[in-house]
Amino acid sequence: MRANGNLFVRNLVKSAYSLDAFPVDLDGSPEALINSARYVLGLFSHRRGDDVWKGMLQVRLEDVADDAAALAALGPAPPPALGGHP
Amino acid sequence: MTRLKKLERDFATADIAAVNGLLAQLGDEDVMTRFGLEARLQELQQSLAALGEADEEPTALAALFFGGAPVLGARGIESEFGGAAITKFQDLVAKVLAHENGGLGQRGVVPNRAASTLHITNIVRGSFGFLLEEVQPQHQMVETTLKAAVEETTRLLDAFGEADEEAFRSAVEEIDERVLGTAREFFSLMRLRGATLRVVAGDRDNSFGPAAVTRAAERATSTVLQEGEEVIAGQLAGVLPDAHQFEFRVGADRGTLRGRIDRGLTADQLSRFNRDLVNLAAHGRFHTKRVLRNDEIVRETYTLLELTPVEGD
Repeated sequence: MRANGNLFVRNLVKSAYSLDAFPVDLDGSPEALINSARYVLGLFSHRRGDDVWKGMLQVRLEDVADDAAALAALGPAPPPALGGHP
Repeated sequence: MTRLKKLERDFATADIAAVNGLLAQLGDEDVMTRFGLEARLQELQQSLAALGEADEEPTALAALFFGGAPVLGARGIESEFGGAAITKFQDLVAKVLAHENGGLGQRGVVPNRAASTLHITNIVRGSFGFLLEEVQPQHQMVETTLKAAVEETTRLLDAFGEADEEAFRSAVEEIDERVLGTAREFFSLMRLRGATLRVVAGDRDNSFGPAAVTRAAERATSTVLQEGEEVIAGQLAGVLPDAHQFEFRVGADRGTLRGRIDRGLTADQLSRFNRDLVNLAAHGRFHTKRVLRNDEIVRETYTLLELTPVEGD
Protein backbone atom coordinates (compact mmCIF):
# COMPACT_ATOMS: atom_id res chain seq x y z
CA MET A 1 0.00 0.00 0.00
CA ARG A 2 2.81 2.33 0.94
CA ALA A 3 4.53 1.71 -2.41
CA ASN A 4 1.39 2.76 -4.30
CA GLY A 5 0.21 5.66 -2.14
CA ASN A 6 -0.90 7.55 -5.26
CA LEU A 7 -3.73 5.06 -5.69
CA PHE A 8 -5.51 6.70 -2.80
CA VAL A 9 -5.25 10.26 -4.06
CA ARG A 10 -8.52 10.90 -5.81
CA ASN A 11 -7.49 13.48 -8.40
CA LEU A 12 -4.33 11.56 -9.37
CA VAL A 13 -6.32 8.38 -9.89
CA LYS A 14 -8.87 10.28 -11.89
CA SER A 15 -6.37 11.81 -14.28
CA ALA A 16 -4.21 8.68 -14.64
CA TYR A 17 -6.89 5.99 -14.90
CA SER A 18 -10.13 7.86 -15.74
CA LEU A 19 -11.49 6.38 -12.56
CA ASP A 20 -13.58 8.02 -9.86
CA ALA A 21 -12.07 6.41 -6.77
CA PHE A 22 -13.53 6.26 -3.27
CA PRO A 23 -11.46 4.13 -0.93
CA VAL A 24 -13.61 2.72 1.88
CA ASP A 25 -12.36 0.84 4.94
CA LEU A 26 -14.04 -2.54 5.12
CA ASP A 27 -12.73 -3.05 8.63
CA GLY A 28 -13.67 0.43 9.80
CA SER A 29 -16.77 1.28 11.80
CA PRO A 30 -19.91 -0.47 10.48
CA GLU A 31 -21.90 2.74 10.53
CA ALA A 32 -19.33 4.57 8.39
CA LEU A 33 -19.44 1.66 5.93
CA ILE A 34 -23.22 1.85 5.62
CA ASN A 35 -23.19 5.63 5.26
CA SER A 36 -20.44 5.53 2.64
CA ALA A 37 -22.38 2.93 0.66
CA ARG A 38 -25.48 5.11 0.86
CA TYR A 39 -23.60 8.19 -0.34
CA VAL A 40 -21.74 6.44 -3.14
CA LEU A 41 -24.91 4.75 -4.35
CA GLY A 42 -26.61 8.14 -4.60
CA LEU A 43 -23.63 9.66 -6.34
CA PHE A 44 -23.14 6.89 -8.88
CA SER A 45 -26.66 5.76 -9.67
CA HIS A 46 -27.93 8.65 -11.73
CA ARG A 47 -26.36 11.60 -13.43
CA ARG A 48 -28.28 14.86 -13.26
CA GLY A 49 -27.83 16.92 -16.39
CA ASP A 50 -27.95 14.17 -18.99
CA ASP A 51 -30.22 11.73 -17.21
CA VAL A 52 -27.84 8.77 -17.50
CA TRP A 53 -28.66 5.92 -15.14
CA LYS A 54 -25.66 4.11 -13.81
CA GLY A 55 -25.19 0.99 -11.76
CA MET A 56 -22.58 -0.75 -9.68
CA LEU A 57 -20.83 -4.02 -10.12
CA GLN A 58 -18.45 -5.89 -7.89
CA VAL A 59 -15.01 -6.83 -9.17
CA ARG A 60 -12.65 -8.82 -7.00
CA LEU A 61 -8.97 -7.88 -7.33
CA GLU A 62 -7.40 -10.41 -5.01
CA ASP A 63 -4.91 -12.12 -7.28
CA VAL A 64 -3.46 -12.04 -10.78
CA ALA A 65 -6.31 -14.13 -12.18
CA ASP A 66 -8.81 -11.53 -10.92
CA ASP A 67 -6.74 -8.78 -12.52
CA ALA A 68 -6.70 -10.58 -15.86
CA ALA A 69 -10.45 -11.22 -15.77
CA ALA A 70 -11.14 -7.57 -14.93
CA LEU A 71 -8.87 -6.38 -17.74
CA ALA A 72 -10.59 -8.67 -20.22
CA ALA A 73 -14.01 -7.39 -19.16
CA LEU A 74 -12.90 -3.75 -19.50
CA GLY A 75 -11.57 -4.17 -23.04
CA PRO A 76 -9.12 -1.68 -24.54
CA ALA A 77 -8.19 1.41 -22.52
CA PRO A 78 -10.50 4.39 -23.07
CA PRO A 79 -9.09 7.63 -24.46
CA PRO A 80 -7.63 9.66 -21.61
CA ALA A 81 -9.92 12.12 -19.87
CA LEU A 82 -9.44 15.83 -20.54
CA GLY A 83 -6.37 17.08 -18.72
CA GLY A 84 -5.22 13.49 -18.13
CA HIS A 85 -1.91 11.95 -19.08
CA PRO A 86 -1.60 10.82 -22.69
CA MET B 1 -26.43 20.43 -16.81
CA THR B 2 -28.89 23.17 -16.11
CA ARG B 3 -27.54 26.66 -16.62
CA LEU B 4 -29.46 27.98 -13.67
CA LYS B 5 -26.65 28.77 -11.27
CA LYS B 6 -28.95 28.94 -8.28
CA LEU B 7 -29.83 25.27 -8.75
CA GLU B 8 -26.23 24.21 -9.43
CA ARG B 9 -25.11 25.99 -6.27
CA ASP B 10 -27.91 24.34 -4.29
CA PHE B 11 -26.84 20.90 -5.52
CA ALA B 12 -23.20 21.52 -4.63
CA THR B 13 -24.11 22.93 -1.22
CA ALA B 14 -26.35 19.95 -0.44
CA ASP B 15 -23.57 17.57 -1.49
CA ILE B 16 -21.06 19.39 0.72
CA ALA B 17 -23.46 19.11 3.66
CA ALA B 18 -23.84 15.36 3.01
CA VAL B 19 -20.07 14.81 2.85
CA ASN B 20 -19.50 16.87 6.00
CA GLY B 21 -22.15 14.80 7.74
CA LEU B 22 -20.37 11.60 6.72
CA LEU B 23 -16.97 12.92 7.81
CA ALA B 24 -18.36 13.85 11.23
CA GLN B 25 -19.45 10.25 11.82
CA LEU B 26 -16.14 8.63 10.92
CA GLY B 27 -14.05 7.03 13.64
CA ASP B 28 -10.27 6.68 13.95
CA GLU B 29 -10.38 3.36 12.17
CA ASP B 30 -11.90 4.80 8.97
CA VAL B 31 -8.63 6.16 7.60
CA MET B 32 -9.14 5.38 3.91
CA THR B 33 -12.77 6.47 3.91
CA ARG B 34 -11.70 9.79 5.39
CA PHE B 35 -9.11 10.23 2.62
CA GLY B 36 -11.70 9.69 -0.08
CA LEU B 37 -14.35 11.91 1.45
CA GLU B 38 -11.96 14.75 2.15
CA ALA B 39 -10.85 14.70 -1.49
CA ARG B 40 -14.49 14.73 -2.56
CA LEU B 41 -15.18 17.67 -0.24
CA GLN B 42 -12.30 19.62 -1.71
CA GLU B 43 -13.54 18.92 -5.23
CA LEU B 44 -17.04 20.14 -4.36
CA GLN B 45 -15.76 23.27 -2.69
CA GLN B 46 -13.73 24.06 -5.79
CA SER B 47 -16.72 23.65 -8.07
CA LEU B 48 -18.85 25.78 -5.74
CA ALA B 49 -16.20 28.51 -5.79
CA ALA B 50 -16.07 28.31 -9.60
CA LEU B 51 -19.87 28.72 -9.72
CA GLY B 52 -19.58 31.81 -7.53
CA GLU B 53 -17.04 33.36 -9.87
CA ALA B 54 -18.81 32.69 -13.14
CA ASP B 55 -20.92 35.60 -14.26
CA GLU B 56 -24.65 35.40 -14.07
CA GLU B 57 -26.19 34.87 -17.50
CA PRO B 58 -27.40 38.17 -18.97
CA THR B 59 -30.40 36.47 -20.58
CA ALA B 60 -33.63 35.38 -18.93
CA LEU B 61 -33.77 31.99 -17.27
CA ALA B 62 -36.38 30.51 -14.98
CA ALA B 63 -37.19 27.06 -13.68
CA LEU B 64 -40.75 26.08 -12.79
CA PHE B 65 -41.30 22.93 -10.80
CA PHE B 66 -44.71 21.43 -10.30
CA GLY B 67 -45.98 19.01 -7.71
CA GLY B 68 -49.33 17.80 -6.41
CA ALA B 69 -52.16 16.10 -8.26
CA PRO B 70 -51.13 16.63 -11.93
CA VAL B 71 -47.62 15.31 -11.34
CA LEU B 72 -46.44 11.71 -11.08
CA GLY B 73 -43.27 12.17 -9.05
CA ALA B 74 -40.30 12.81 -11.29
CA ARG B 75 -41.82 10.66 -14.05
CA GLY B 76 -44.32 12.86 -15.73
CA ILE B 77 -46.79 15.65 -15.68
CA GLU B 78 -50.25 15.79 -17.28
CA SER B 79 -49.50 17.35 -20.64
CA GLU B 80 -52.61 19.52 -20.66
CA PHE B 81 -51.84 20.96 -17.24
CA GLY B 82 -48.12 21.41 -17.95
CA GLY B 83 -48.82 23.16 -21.24
CA ALA B 84 -51.49 25.42 -19.75
CA ALA B 85 -49.34 26.39 -16.75
CA ILE B 86 -46.30 27.24 -18.88
CA THR B 87 -48.50 29.21 -21.30
CA LYS B 88 -49.94 31.25 -18.43
CA PHE B 89 -46.48 31.94 -17.05
CA GLN B 90 -45.25 33.04 -20.47
CA ASP B 91 -48.34 35.23 -20.86
CA LEU B 92 -47.66 36.83 -17.49
CA VAL B 93 -44.04 37.56 -18.42
CA ALA B 94 -45.17 39.17 -21.70
CA LYS B 95 -47.63 41.42 -19.89
CA VAL B 96 -45.16 42.37 -17.14
CA LEU B 97 -42.61 43.25 -19.85
CA ALA B 98 -45.12 45.38 -21.73
CA HIS B 99 -46.31 47.01 -18.50
CA GLU B 100 -42.74 47.85 -17.45
CA ASN B 101 -42.17 49.52 -20.78
CA GLY B 102 -45.39 51.44 -20.32
CA GLY B 103 -47.04 49.98 -23.37
CA LEU B 104 -49.85 47.73 -22.16
CA GLY B 105 -53.26 49.06 -23.17
CA GLN B 106 -56.49 48.18 -21.37
CA ARG B 107 -57.26 45.49 -23.90
CA GLY B 108 -56.11 44.26 -27.28
CA VAL B 109 -52.82 42.97 -28.55
CA VAL B 110 -49.90 42.80 -26.11
CA PRO B 111 -47.14 44.86 -27.76
CA ASN B 112 -43.81 43.33 -28.69
CA ARG B 113 -44.90 39.88 -27.65
CA ALA B 114 -42.15 38.20 -29.69
CA ALA B 115 -39.51 39.92 -27.56
CA SER B 116 -40.87 38.19 -24.48
CA THR B 117 -40.74 34.67 -25.85
CA LEU B 118 -39.04 32.09 -23.66
CA HIS B 119 -38.21 28.62 -24.90
CA ILE B 120 -38.46 25.42 -22.94
CA THR B 121 -34.86 24.22 -23.18
CA ASN B 122 -34.81 21.44 -20.66
CA ILE B 123 -36.84 19.54 -18.18
CA VAL B 124 -35.37 19.75 -14.74
CA ARG B 125 -34.59 16.54 -12.96
CA GLY B 126 -35.48 16.00 -9.34
CA SER B 127 -39.15 16.82 -9.29
CA PHE B 128 -41.03 17.64 -12.40
CA GLY B 129 -40.08 20.98 -13.77
CA PHE B 130 -39.31 22.99 -16.85
CA LEU B 131 -36.37 25.20 -17.61
CA LEU B 132 -37.44 28.26 -19.56
CA GLU B 133 -34.80 30.21 -21.34
CA GLU B 134 -34.45 33.25 -23.52
CA VAL B 135 -32.84 32.21 -26.78
CA GLN B 136 -30.72 34.94 -28.29
CA PRO B 137 -29.01 34.57 -31.67
CA GLN B 138 -26.00 36.51 -30.40
CA HIS B 139 -24.18 36.54 -27.13
CA GLN B 140 -25.56 39.26 -24.89
CA MET B 141 -23.25 41.57 -22.99
CA VAL B 142 -25.81 43.41 -20.90
CA GLU B 143 -28.86 42.11 -19.11
CA THR B 144 -31.87 41.89 -21.37
CA THR B 145 -35.20 43.51 -20.57
CA LEU B 146 -36.74 40.05 -20.65
CA LYS B 147 -34.45 38.94 -17.82
CA ALA B 148 -35.70 41.85 -15.73
CA ALA B 149 -39.29 41.01 -16.65
CA VAL B 150 -38.87 37.35 -15.67
CA GLU B 151 -37.42 38.38 -12.33
CA GLU B 152 -40.18 40.92 -11.83
CA THR B 153 -42.75 38.22 -12.61
CA THR B 154 -41.29 35.83 -10.03
CA ARG B 155 -41.21 38.67 -7.47
CA LEU B 156 -44.88 39.29 -8.21
CA LEU B 157 -45.78 35.60 -7.87
CA ASP B 158 -43.89 35.50 -4.54
CA ALA B 159 -45.92 38.45 -3.28
CA PHE B 160 -49.15 36.60 -4.05
CA GLY B 161 -48.12 33.58 -2.01
CA GLU B 162 -46.44 35.40 0.85
CA ALA B 163 -48.24 35.54 4.20
CA ASP B 164 -47.52 39.26 4.59
CA GLU B 165 -50.58 41.17 3.40
CA GLU B 166 -48.74 44.51 3.18
CA ALA B 167 -46.11 43.10 0.82
CA PHE B 168 -48.88 41.77 -1.40
CA ARG B 169 -50.69 45.11 -1.51
CA SER B 170 -47.50 47.01 -2.37
CA ALA B 171 -46.75 44.58 -5.18
CA VAL B 172 -50.28 44.84 -6.60
CA GLU B 173 -50.05 48.61 -6.56
CA GLU B 174 -47.25 48.39 -9.11
CA ILE B 175 -49.11 46.31 -11.67
CA ASP B 176 -52.25 46.77 -13.75
CA GLU B 177 -55.52 44.93 -14.17
CA ARG B 178 -54.34 42.82 -17.13
CA VAL B 179 -51.25 41.58 -15.31
CA LEU B 180 -53.45 40.86 -12.30
CA GLY B 181 -55.94 39.03 -14.51
CA THR B 182 -53.26 36.71 -15.86
CA ALA B 183 -51.86 36.06 -12.37
CA ARG B 184 -55.45 35.21 -11.38
CA GLU B 185 -55.74 32.66 -14.21
CA PHE B 186 -52.35 31.17 -13.32
CA PHE B 187 -53.14 30.63 -9.64
CA SER B 188 -56.73 29.55 -10.30
CA LEU B 189 -55.37 26.83 -12.57
CA MET B 190 -52.95 25.74 -9.83
CA ARG B 191 -55.69 25.62 -7.23
CA LEU B 192 -58.25 23.96 -9.47
CA ARG B 193 -55.85 21.16 -10.38
CA GLY B 194 -54.44 20.76 -6.86
CA ALA B 195 -50.92 21.60 -7.99
CA THR B 196 -48.01 23.01 -6.00
CA LEU B 197 -45.25 25.14 -7.43
CA ARG B 198 -41.64 26.15 -7.03
CA VAL B 199 -40.19 29.02 -9.06
CA VAL B 200 -36.46 29.64 -9.35
CA ALA B 201 -35.09 32.66 -11.21
CA GLY B 202 -31.98 34.70 -10.52
CA ASP B 203 -31.36 34.41 -6.80
CA ARG B 204 -34.99 33.89 -5.94
CA ASP B 205 -36.27 30.48 -5.02
CA ASN B 206 -39.85 30.30 -3.82
CA SER B 207 -42.05 27.37 -3.04
CA PHE B 208 -45.82 27.46 -3.05
CA GLY B 209 -47.30 24.65 -0.98
CA PRO B 210 -51.05 23.97 -1.00
CA ALA B 211 -51.65 26.75 1.57
CA ALA B 212 -49.68 29.33 -0.44
CA VAL B 213 -51.42 28.33 -3.70
CA THR B 214 -54.82 28.68 -2.02
CA ARG B 215 -53.85 32.04 -0.52
CA ALA B 216 -52.50 33.31 -3.84
CA ALA B 217 -55.58 32.18 -5.79
CA GLU B 218 -57.91 33.66 -3.17
CA ARG B 219 -56.05 36.99 -3.26
CA ALA B 220 -55.94 37.05 -7.04
CA THR B 221 -59.70 36.49 -7.33
CA SER B 222 -60.73 38.87 -4.54
CA THR B 223 -58.49 41.73 -5.68
CA VAL B 224 -59.62 44.27 -8.24
CA LEU B 225 -57.61 47.17 -9.60
CA GLN B 226 -59.47 50.31 -10.64
CA GLU B 227 -57.65 52.95 -12.60
CA GLY B 228 -58.98 56.29 -13.70
CA GLU B 229 -58.50 60.01 -13.85
CA GLU B 230 -59.90 62.56 -11.47
CA VAL B 231 -59.75 66.35 -11.25
CA ILE B 232 -59.59 67.46 -7.64
CA ALA B 233 -59.73 71.00 -6.25
CA GLY B 234 -57.28 71.91 -3.50
CA GLN B 235 -53.97 73.58 -2.79
CA LEU B 236 -50.48 72.45 -3.55
CA ALA B 237 -48.46 72.09 -0.36
CA GLY B 238 -45.26 71.52 -2.30
CA VAL B 239 -43.32 69.21 -4.58
CA LEU B 240 -39.94 67.46 -4.46
CA PRO B 241 -38.71 68.18 -8.00
CA ASP B 242 -36.05 65.47 -8.23
CA ALA B 243 -37.95 62.77 -6.40
CA HIS B 244 -41.06 63.69 -8.43
CA GLN B 245 -43.34 63.67 -5.41
CA PHE B 246 -46.11 65.99 -4.31
CA GLU B 247 -48.36 66.93 -1.40
CA PHE B 248 -51.75 68.38 -2.20
CA ARG B 249 -54.23 69.62 0.44
CA VAL B 250 -57.79 68.76 -0.49
CA GLY B 251 -59.91 69.65 2.50
CA ALA B 252 -61.13 68.34 5.81
CA ASP B 253 -62.68 65.11 4.60
CA ARG B 254 -59.86 63.83 2.37
CA GLY B 255 -56.94 65.50 4.11
CA THR B 256 -53.64 65.71 2.25
CA LEU B 257 -52.93 63.61 -0.82
CA ARG B 258 -49.36 62.43 -1.35
CA GLY B 259 -47.94 60.65 -4.29
CA ARG B 260 -45.78 60.58 -7.35
CA ILE B 261 -45.74 63.06 -10.19
CA ASP B 262 -46.01 61.96 -13.81
CA ARG B 263 -42.58 61.64 -15.43
CA GLY B 264 -43.83 63.84 -18.28
CA LEU B 265 -43.42 66.88 -16.04
CA THR B 266 -39.81 68.05 -15.87
CA ALA B 267 -37.91 68.96 -12.71
CA ASP B 268 -37.84 72.53 -14.07
CA GLN B 269 -41.60 72.70 -14.33
CA LEU B 270 -41.87 71.31 -10.83
CA SER B 271 -39.53 73.98 -9.42
CA ARG B 272 -41.88 76.52 -10.95
CA PHE B 273 -44.84 74.82 -9.21
CA ASN B 274 -43.04 75.38 -5.92
CA ARG B 275 -42.41 79.02 -6.74
CA ASP B 276 -45.76 80.00 -8.28
CA LEU B 277 -48.50 77.68 -7.12
CA VAL B 278 -47.95 76.69 -3.50
CA ASN B 279 -50.96 77.44 -1.23
CA LEU B 280 -53.06 78.77 -4.13
CA ALA B 281 -56.41 77.30 -5.10
CA ALA B 282 -55.78 74.94 -7.99
CA HIS B 283 -57.19 72.00 -9.87
CA GLY B 284 -55.04 68.94 -9.92
CA ARG B 285 -55.60 66.29 -12.54
CA PHE B 286 -54.62 62.92 -11.09
CA HIS B 287 -54.27 59.40 -12.33
CA THR B 288 -55.88 57.30 -9.60
CA LYS B 289 -55.36 53.67 -8.84
CA ARG B 290 -57.37 51.77 -6.27
CA VAL B 291 -56.70 48.30 -4.95
CA LEU B 292 -59.96 46.68 -3.83
CA ARG B 293 -60.14 43.53 -1.76
CA ASN B 294 -63.66 42.10 -1.54
CA ASP B 295 -65.04 45.45 -2.77
CA GLU B 296 -63.25 47.39 -0.04
CA ILE B 297 -60.55 49.92 -0.90
CA VAL B 298 -57.28 48.84 0.71
CA ARG B 299 -54.88 51.04 -1.21
CA GLU B 300 -55.31 54.22 -3.15
CA THR B 301 -52.58 56.01 -5.07
CA TYR B 302 -52.56 59.31 -6.89
CA THR B 303 -50.19 60.38 -9.61
CA LEU B 304 -50.23 64.07 -10.42
CA LEU B 305 -50.60 64.66 -14.17
CA GLU B 306 -51.35 68.37 -14.39
CA LEU B 307 -51.83 71.33 -12.08
CA THR B 308 -53.74 74.48 -13.09
CA PRO B 309 -54.39 77.49 -10.86
CA VAL B 310 -58.04 78.48 -10.45
CA GLU B 311 -58.56 81.75 -12.34
CA GLY B 312 -59.30 84.87 -10.33
CA ASP B 313 -57.95 83.57 -7.04
